This record gives sequence, C-alpha cells and structure tokens, in this order.
Amino acid sequence: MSGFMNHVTRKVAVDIFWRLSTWMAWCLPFYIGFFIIEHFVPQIQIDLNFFDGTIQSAKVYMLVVGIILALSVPGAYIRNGVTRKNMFNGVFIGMSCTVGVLSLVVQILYGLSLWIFGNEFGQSNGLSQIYHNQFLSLFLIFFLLCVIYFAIGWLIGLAFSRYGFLSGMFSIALSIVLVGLSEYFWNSYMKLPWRLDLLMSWLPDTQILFVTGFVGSAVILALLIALLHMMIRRMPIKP
Amino acid sequence: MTTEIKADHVSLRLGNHNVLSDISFQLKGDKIYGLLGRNGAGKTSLLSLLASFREPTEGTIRINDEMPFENDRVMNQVNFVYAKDQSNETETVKGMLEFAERYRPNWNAEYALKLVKRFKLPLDQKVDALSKGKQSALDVVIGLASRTSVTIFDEAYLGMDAPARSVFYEELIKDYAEHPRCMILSTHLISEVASLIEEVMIIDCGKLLLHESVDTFMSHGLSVTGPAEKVDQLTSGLHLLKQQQLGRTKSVMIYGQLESGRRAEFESAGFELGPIGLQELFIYLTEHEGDEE
Amino acid sequence: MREPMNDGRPIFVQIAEHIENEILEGSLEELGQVPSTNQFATFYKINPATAAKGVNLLVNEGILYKKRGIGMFVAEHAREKLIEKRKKTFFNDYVAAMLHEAEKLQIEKETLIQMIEDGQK
Repeated sequence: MSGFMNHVTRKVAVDIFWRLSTWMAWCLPFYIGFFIIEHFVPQIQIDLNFFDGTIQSAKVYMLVVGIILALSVPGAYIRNGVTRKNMFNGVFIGMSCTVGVLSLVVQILYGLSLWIFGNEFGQSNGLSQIYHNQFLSLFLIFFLLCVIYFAIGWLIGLAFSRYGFLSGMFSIALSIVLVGLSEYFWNSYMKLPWRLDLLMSWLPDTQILFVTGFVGSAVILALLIALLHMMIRRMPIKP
Repeated sequence: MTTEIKADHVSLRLGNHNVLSDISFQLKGDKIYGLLGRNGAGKTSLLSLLASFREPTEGTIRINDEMPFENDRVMNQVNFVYAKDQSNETETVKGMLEFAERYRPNWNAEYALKLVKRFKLPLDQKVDALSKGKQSALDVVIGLASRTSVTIFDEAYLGMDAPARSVFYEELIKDYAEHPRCMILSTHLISEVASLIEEVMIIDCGKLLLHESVDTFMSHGLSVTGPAEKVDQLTSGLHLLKQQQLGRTKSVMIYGQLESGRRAEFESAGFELGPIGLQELFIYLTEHEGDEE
Repeated sequence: MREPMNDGRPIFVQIAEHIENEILEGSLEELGQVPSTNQFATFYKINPATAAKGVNLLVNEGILYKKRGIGMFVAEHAREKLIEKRKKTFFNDYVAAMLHEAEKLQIEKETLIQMIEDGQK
C-alpha cells in the first residue's frame, strides 16, 4: 500500500499525464505550423532549427505549467483525501511520462525536418549542432531540461503560495542560479530578461562533456525534488 | 465498524495566535455531532485538523486509533465540506463528480446523480458559472455521495436558500439513517440543525466549552418566571445565564443540573417553568462581556 | 400531519406523543405495523437516535412491541392503555388549566358547566 507507486499514485499520475498531454496536443500543431510558415517566408529571420527552437519554447511552457499546477493541484487532491506524498509522486511520474512522450515526438519531427529541409540552420551553436545526429543524447537533454523547468515552476509556485512574497522572490533568485547551471551544463546560452544571465558569467567558458552535463543536471533535479518534497511533506491547506 | 475520533490535548498556534488550546474530546460511534462556536472560535481550524489539512502544534488526533495526517487509509475516509471560493473553478459539475469518484472508495454514483437532480444541478455547466447556492449544493452532493466514514459539513449551506437547505437536511438524515457514519455539522443556523444532532460540542475562544448529548445539554437549561423578589430569593447561588425584568415579573435562565427538589420548590412557588432552546443556550453561554450594545 | 418538534419539550417525547395520538385517533391500528424509526427520522428531519428513543418510550410502556427483524407493531389493548394513561393526566393537563383561567376571568362554576354542555352538543 505504501509503496512508491501505489494505486492512488498511479491514478494521480494518469490524471496529470492526460491533462498535460491534452494541453500539449493543443499547442504542438500551432508550433509546427509556425515553423513551416517561418520556413516559407524569407522575410522572417530565423537562426534556430526545429529542435533548438522547440526546446526553448518547451522549457518556458513547462515552467509556466509547473507554476499553474503548483497553485491548484495540491489543494484539489488533499481535499479529496489524497495524501501529499501520493499527490506529489503522482504529479512527477505523470509529468515525466508526458515529457518523455513529447521528447520522443520532437525527435521524430526534428528528424523529419532534417530530411525535408536539410540542416540549413546549422549556423546556430544550439544543442542540435553540439550533439549533431545524436538523437539519444538530444532526447535525454530535452527530457531533463523540461523536467527541471517544471520542478522550478513548482518551487516558485509553492514558495509564493505557501511562504509569501519574500520567499517567493528568494525562490526566483534560487531558480535563476539553478536554471543558469542547468543551461551551462549543456553549453546553451541563456537569454534571461534584464541580462540576469550575466550573474552566471563567473562560470568558466569551456566545452562540457555530455557525462558531466548529465550528472550535473541529475544532481540539480535531485536537489529540486528534495527541496519540493520538504516543502510539501507537511504542507497545510487553507480551508 | 463504527468510527471513533479522539483528540488528546490538541493545540494549534498560527504565528503568535493561539487558535486552539488544549482541546480533548472523544467522538464515539456513528452519530451526528454538532460543533457550535462563534465566529473565530476555532471551529474551522479544529475541523481542518481532523481532515489532515494541517497538523496540530501540540497534542494528537486519532481516527479509529490511527494518526490521520498523511495516512492514506484515514484521509480517503474523511471528507471536509466547506464553502470554498470556487470563482476560478473551470471544471464542469460532471468533472468535479468524476474527480471525487476517482478518489473516494465508497462513492455511490447512482446516489450522486439522484442528488444532482434533487438540487437541479446542470451537469455540463462550469462550476464558476454556478450561483453560490448551486456551488454549495454541488459540495454537499460530493460530501454525501462520498459516503466517507467521517463527513464534515462546515457552513456547507452558504448561499443556499431555505428550500435548498431543507432538501440538504432531509437528504442528510435519510442517507445517515441508511448508512450511519460519523457526521459533524458546524453551523450558525443552530435552530435548523437542533433536531438533527445527537451530541453537541461548543468551542469558545479556542477552548472546548462543553461536549454533551443534546438531551443532557438541554436538560441543564431552565427558564423560570415569577414575581421578582421571590425569583431572586429562590434562584440565588445558581448559574444564571440571563435575567430580564418586566414590571414586577422577573424571568431568569438557569444553567446547570438542579438539585432534586429544587424544581418542585419552583413549582410550588407558582413559577412558570420552561425549557431553553439550543440556540438560546448557545447564545448566552458564549456571550462575553462587552458583546452587548 | 401537524407541524412537529418545536414546542420546546424534548423531541423524543413529542415523537412518542405523536404515535400515541395516531393510535388514539385510529390511524394506527392495534397489531398494525408502525413506521420504522428511520422513516420517522426522515419524515420529521430528526436524528434517528431521537426517533428510536421516542419509540422505545412506548415499547417500555407496553404500547408498542418489537418483532425481531420485522419491525415495530402496536400492542394489543394499546388503545385502552393509552386512554387510561391520558385520563390520569387529563385533569392536570386540561381541567386545572381551565379552572385557573376561569378564576382569572371570574367565570362562575355554573357558566363553566353550561359551556361544557354547549360544547358537547
């Protein structure tokens, strides 16, 4: 009963998987449409190929979805007699499944775009160039970054809703550091508003190995999950 | 199996504020309990501890001998229905019912639909588009159809008009009679639930003032009317809740168990004796100095 | 049916009295089945335990009897017993009060008797 994946956790996971997948299914066609239009209208200056463009949008999307769910999901489940632990495990398992499917779909679409249009936006030093034709690596990177951004969304959402404004601001500061590190591990150049990315300029400008990036991201994710777990374990719900 | 709830020296502090202090009680059996208290007395806080919305700062709560907080077996059997803000709830009525059905093991879908019809709820409408009364009705439907062993209604009728409230009480009693379970009603409309509840708990300023069967509680109240001097003389030393005088006639409300013979003494003095209603008893027991005027 | 449960006396007493009246007026026949406590509870919107308490009051007086697993029935001679019982309290409940009121209004004994005779016609 108290196992990691009991039947309640599984139900929550299925709920979250379908909800996120439905939202995703609504967004993806628009995104693909935009990519195709962009390709045929020469006036639009584009320097990102399908993969590099998609991963940027997906990260922002996961961040926003994370914040929204963090505000509404815990209360809804606890009110219906689901424990915090089952709720949290369910949300992260369901979300990971959605991101896994999305990552796979993006790899397939990216492969298709290469086949149809060729590697014509290869000038950008995006992830797709660093890991050119390494689909498994790209799959993992896409997956890890999306999950991290979702977790950060939860961190910000919970900090604001549970601990108030100051803690919320602190969680944003912490998030910038964690986002900066995650991006650094994959040599991607962050574009944060107000040049906040300069905060991370102290990091050495060197090529980072896939293994290092992978381990580094996993550590950040583990840290985030531990932090969220601490926040949720005894979280009070306001009636 | 009947339900037993036990609170042992429970206190709750929020910030610097003592919301509940040293509350102990035992709710034994599948009865309908009334939790009464004035605004801010701590009713909702106490109930949210039972529902594992939060933990007590001190003391323990046990439901059927188990700690409820984060306990799957207990939490899915406790339903806390209260008038929550649903102005942003974009789920449909049907969706809300399906969600509750998914997580409440004793859910009865047939009964839920019957109640939906009785309260005239539109299944396909979004919850935020419903009137406050209909939103409350939906909460009540979910609370009843969940058939949880502990079902708590905290001012659940908010916004419901008198006929709808009447349907609520009727369905509550009907379903309780067929499926006895521990029900806790917390309310300000005391006269409406006075005949529904079997035991009454009154909390005042975060403390448990009393917990008795309604019959015992009511038998402790007595209103005595007669000539002023004589009433004063014969009721001196008793716990008087309220005194009123009109001309030379005085009426007092006595609270507490009377010594045997005392009642006969009043009767032979020609006093007019009468019961005090639950609501009046509650009002006078929780009235504080400076409340009046 | 009459509007119940708000004359200030304990509800179970009122329930018992209600059943007594039904028997006296003949709506409940001797050896006939009485509605279940749950039916009483639902009808009057009162707690089933209270309804049961009222019914048990009459069981103890031998007015009703339980058939295990079937329900509650009106006992034989229940009506007679009730009439006896009510007669005993009739003076206190009605006559004494009437005399008290008559005294206040200075109604003569003869007038009172005349009123009763007129009323019975």
